[in-house]
Amino acid sequence: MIPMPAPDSAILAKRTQIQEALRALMDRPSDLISEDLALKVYETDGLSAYRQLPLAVALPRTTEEVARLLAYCHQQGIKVIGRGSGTSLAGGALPTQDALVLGLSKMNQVLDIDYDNRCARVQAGVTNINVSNAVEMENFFYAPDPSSQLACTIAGNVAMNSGGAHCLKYGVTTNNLLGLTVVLMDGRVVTIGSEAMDGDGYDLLGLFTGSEGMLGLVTEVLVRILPKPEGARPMLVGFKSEELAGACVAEIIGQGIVPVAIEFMDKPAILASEAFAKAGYPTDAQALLIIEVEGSTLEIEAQEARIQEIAGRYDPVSIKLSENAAQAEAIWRGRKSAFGAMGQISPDYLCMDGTIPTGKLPEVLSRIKQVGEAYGFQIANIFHAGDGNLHPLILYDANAPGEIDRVEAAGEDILKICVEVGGCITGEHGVGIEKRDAMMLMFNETDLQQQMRIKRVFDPLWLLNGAKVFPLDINPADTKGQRIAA
Amino acid sequence: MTQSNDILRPGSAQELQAMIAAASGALAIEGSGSKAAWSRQTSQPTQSLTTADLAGIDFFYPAEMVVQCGPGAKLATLESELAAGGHRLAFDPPDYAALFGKPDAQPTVGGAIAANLAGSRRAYRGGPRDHLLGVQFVNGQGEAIKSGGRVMKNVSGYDLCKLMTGSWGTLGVLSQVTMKTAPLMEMRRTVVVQGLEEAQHLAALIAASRSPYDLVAAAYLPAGEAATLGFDASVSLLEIEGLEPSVLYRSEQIATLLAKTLTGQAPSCRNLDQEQSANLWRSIKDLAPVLGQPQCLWRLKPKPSDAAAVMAQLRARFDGPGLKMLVDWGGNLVWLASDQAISRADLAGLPGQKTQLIGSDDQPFEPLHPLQTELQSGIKRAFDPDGRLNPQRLYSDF
Ligand SMILES: Cc1cc2nc3c(=O)[nH]c(=O)nc-3n(C[C@H](O)[C@H](O)[C@H](O)COP(=O)(O)OP(=O)(O)OC[C@H]3O[C@@H](n4cnc5c(N)ncnc54)[C@H](O)[C@@H]3O)c2cc1C
Repeated sequence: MIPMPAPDSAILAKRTQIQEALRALMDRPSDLISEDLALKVYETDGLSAYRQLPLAVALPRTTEEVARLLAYCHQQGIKVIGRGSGTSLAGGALPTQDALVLGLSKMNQVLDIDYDNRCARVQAGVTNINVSNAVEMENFFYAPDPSSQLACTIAGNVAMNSGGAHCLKYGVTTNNLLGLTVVLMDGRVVTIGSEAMDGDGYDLLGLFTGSEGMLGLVTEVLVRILPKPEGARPMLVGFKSEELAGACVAEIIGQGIVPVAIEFMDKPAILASEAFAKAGYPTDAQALLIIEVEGSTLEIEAQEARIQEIAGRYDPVSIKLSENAAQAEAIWRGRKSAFGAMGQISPDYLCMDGTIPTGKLPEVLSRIKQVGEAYGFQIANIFHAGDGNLHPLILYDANAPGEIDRVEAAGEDILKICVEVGGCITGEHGVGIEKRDAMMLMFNETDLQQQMRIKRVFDPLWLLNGAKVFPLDINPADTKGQRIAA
Repeated sequence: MTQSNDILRPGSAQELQAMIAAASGALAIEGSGSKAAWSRQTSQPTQSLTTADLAGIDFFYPAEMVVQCGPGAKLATLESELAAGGHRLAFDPPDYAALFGKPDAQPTVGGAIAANLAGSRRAYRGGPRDHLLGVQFVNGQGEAIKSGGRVMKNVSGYDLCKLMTGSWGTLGVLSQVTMKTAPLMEMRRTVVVQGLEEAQHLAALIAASRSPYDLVAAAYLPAGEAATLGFDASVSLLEIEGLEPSVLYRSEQIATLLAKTLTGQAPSCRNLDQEQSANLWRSIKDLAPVLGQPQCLWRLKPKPSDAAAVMAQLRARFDGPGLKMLVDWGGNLVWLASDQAISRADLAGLPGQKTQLIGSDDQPFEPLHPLQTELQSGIKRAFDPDGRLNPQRLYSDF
């Protein structure tokens, strides 16, 4: 189990008093939650093995309200943890007992859409899909599309620099933002970025994106929106081995064809997703690629022909083009619900997120298989093949005694492999608490001290989500060195 | 370790680290020096340090779309290496050496990153910040630091690549950079649009950018500036690339779209082929149409929908034979060159960021809001507490 710093007992002793003071700061008293039963909704996130009731939960509706709350917490030395929808798979939104959780769910409006300048201003609590929905009528979309897009918020996406299946062409969150409104821990509001790209001075927009809610709370976001292509069509290619699929990916990209998405599934993932979504996935294949291309019908056909020609050299067991919108939709539904489908065949799973150089794919897949065998876990692989972002899902049963520790050890072994071959420990899910210690696989203490000095510029008292990202051994959140099981 | 005319020339990351650790005062950091005339001057440097000898290309893997090199690698060398493998730098860095009167200086990768310089594709394919995957650098305390890596997706820790980009060597001296590359496409083509008034041209950039036809670049040149590239009248230029059938289809669609959406005049559209396209866009990104010996050169960044009004204002305020303008990035970027001196105060009231590349204002970069100054000074101290690296080159406060 991952330890957490012991809570601040002085704060806990004033719990009721603090709750009342916070309530008095809200525009509507009912937006401050302090009952244990109601707090339970916020006790965990997508890393649901870890749970902790927070001090209180505030659901502000305006930037001014957020500023008031933070100014008060700053003055009182109360920790704060931002929260969007709580879908973080890394425990990024996991509360601590002595912290106020500041949830953005009521700041969910699209404020302004500017098609001529291809941008939209949104409140940070809007869900990812609702940004695309808001601009769909004019045939625009917001490009980063995490599989959790129905639920997750833009605030969470900014904090984690989230990606999606289509980021091979369109980039991840950081490549699709223009500006932010941020409330600093002391309650001051700062505007970062604008419609003008690459403003003079340091790129605070880039720094904030992916900083895991540790530098400030984001309340508004100016996102880049893009015109939709005329059409898009996924195709399915089944292979006899994972190695052949991996080699095919390398050749497609090597030939200068960059499809909008290349997703990979191994046999266990194919079977589970097919049982769930009935998308027509080839159940006789050892590995499957979902390759999506875009454009007019003519352009799609030209690209598909080229890809079929390349795939043909890798002895495919099947190549299937989607013939209509319903088939295309089913193919993506299978992929986007793949994690959920795993839930049907195993009580729990731990989703890893390392990225590797794509050329190392066959080697890494076989080494992951060995890790599974050594620990006796089944591991299913579903991932963004075009950019090497792996999602090995380690299937386990959280109720079996000791399983959590073993599954976390297996996970760490996989991350070590990713780093060894030149990759990283997290491609899009973030570090949170889950990979806090694994940061030492990639960085030395000097590197991390540099990062921590940056946090201190924005949050000198280390109050904002401080128990995340940096290993506790060097993390100021762990001043007393007393730890508890989360 | 070589030392000539008091210029430090580290030949390895270790040497770089040792030199910064041993520095007794401020260092002026240079790549090739091609942009020395642009920014503020480093305050009281005791010595110069150039990364010119950290120029090796460590690897380039086309199938993984990644290249790693030293910051001193010449852009020209790197680009020909990439081209040999069928790739390019997606952010298409410009070469301003001639502009700054140093035609012999060969711009380096480190310089393009430190100044965050993107070519014409910025609005559609991203800038240096979007393609820098990993950095190694030495901070002002002489510590070697790394961030990012060589893979396409990486959210392990804060993204220091973004901070290094555009920081003008004030936070750290790069010792290694890893960048995403982009495959060269089978076909490039430029749709040349003529026969429109200025406002209509700028509307054409917006209409094409709003279309599904996936532009990679869009620029507008008034008649005089267009003449320098051989056009007989003002012109909008829309670049697309991809597989041949797709490019042919889209160039036709763009012409049809413009004929439909632009009110009043019917535009005339024709196409430039691969080689003409490549030469044309090289001239535009390197600012050939506004070259000469301007007294001042400003980079304005309005919203595309404000670009027409900005140009009209500029003309009203500074009209004269020496006034030259060029619109790039689909209307997000307006270049202004003039034989008259134009100060920041003269540009007051115009929307968007304004940066001086040539001129006499001692603050070339857009002034920061006081809270921004406080935060950015804090960041400077977090990297370089003693002010050893290019102090005040970016802003007088740090
Ligand atoms: C089934 C499933 C599929 C997923 N698929 C993907 C995927 O394809 N790609 C991907 O990248 N991720 C994926 N994720 C992970 C997750 O959805 C993303 O990390 C998402 O961005 C989190 O958004 P959220 O609103 O739920 O944020 P939360 O989980 O609530 O919070 C995430 C982080 O953001 C911080 N935060 C929240 N609000 C603010 C704020 N206003 N200001 C500053 N910081 C704030 C929190 O403190 C926390 O550190 C998936 C998760 C699940 C459960």
